[in-house]
Amino acid sequence: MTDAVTLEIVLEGLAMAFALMSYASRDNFYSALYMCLTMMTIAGIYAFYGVHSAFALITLIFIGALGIITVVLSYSFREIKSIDYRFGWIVFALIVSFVSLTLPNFANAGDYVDAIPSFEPIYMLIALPLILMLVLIEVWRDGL
Amino acid sequence: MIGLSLVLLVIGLLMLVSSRDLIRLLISLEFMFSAIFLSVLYTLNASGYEVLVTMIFTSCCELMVLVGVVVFFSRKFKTTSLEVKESD
Repeated sequence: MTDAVTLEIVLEGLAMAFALMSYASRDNFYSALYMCLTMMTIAGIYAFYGVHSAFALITLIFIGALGIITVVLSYSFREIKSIDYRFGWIVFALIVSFVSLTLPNFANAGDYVDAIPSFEPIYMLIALPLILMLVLIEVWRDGL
Repeated sequence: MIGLSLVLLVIGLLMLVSSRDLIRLLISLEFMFSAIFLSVLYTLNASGYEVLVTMIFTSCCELMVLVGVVVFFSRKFKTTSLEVKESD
């Protein structure tokens, strides 16, 4: 495993971890802070893929303006509430990400899996309506 | 990158579904916007500048609308909570 792959995995893992901590935090203030950290790691991913202007602009605009406004708003209206955690959804996110990462590798593995398309974004396009339908079911079941 | 954007999208949707106030709604929308633009950069093989301009415009518009809604809610209802009280 080269250093570049390791760096990419570390950045993506950090972004996922901060996003999950933002969801798990009951305090909106800490949730906004974790959101800023997630944005920082996403800016790092942009820089990793060579879009250095995106890194600068995300750092300046997203963290400097949007992030700060969100943090200030969350501190002004600071409330600590109980959250109904839905672990089924977290498991679903992990399964979807695992499948979307591993299926393209299987597609190049041999003849018997030729039916699986190797075009990776197709999984994103399949997953999006699935997620939207699941959200509709969730909203229909529990109400808004 | 597709896996990360999908996970961020699902976490954003999860926060959106389970959010009970406007601030969490704002945070969840930020997550979903960043997830979608991360996937756009990858799937459309677009240059960074196209994605950046779209990202900045949409995110700033979203923030302006939601800040306006937060100010309206805090003035009218003295809270940003989305829960409906039984007395209302």
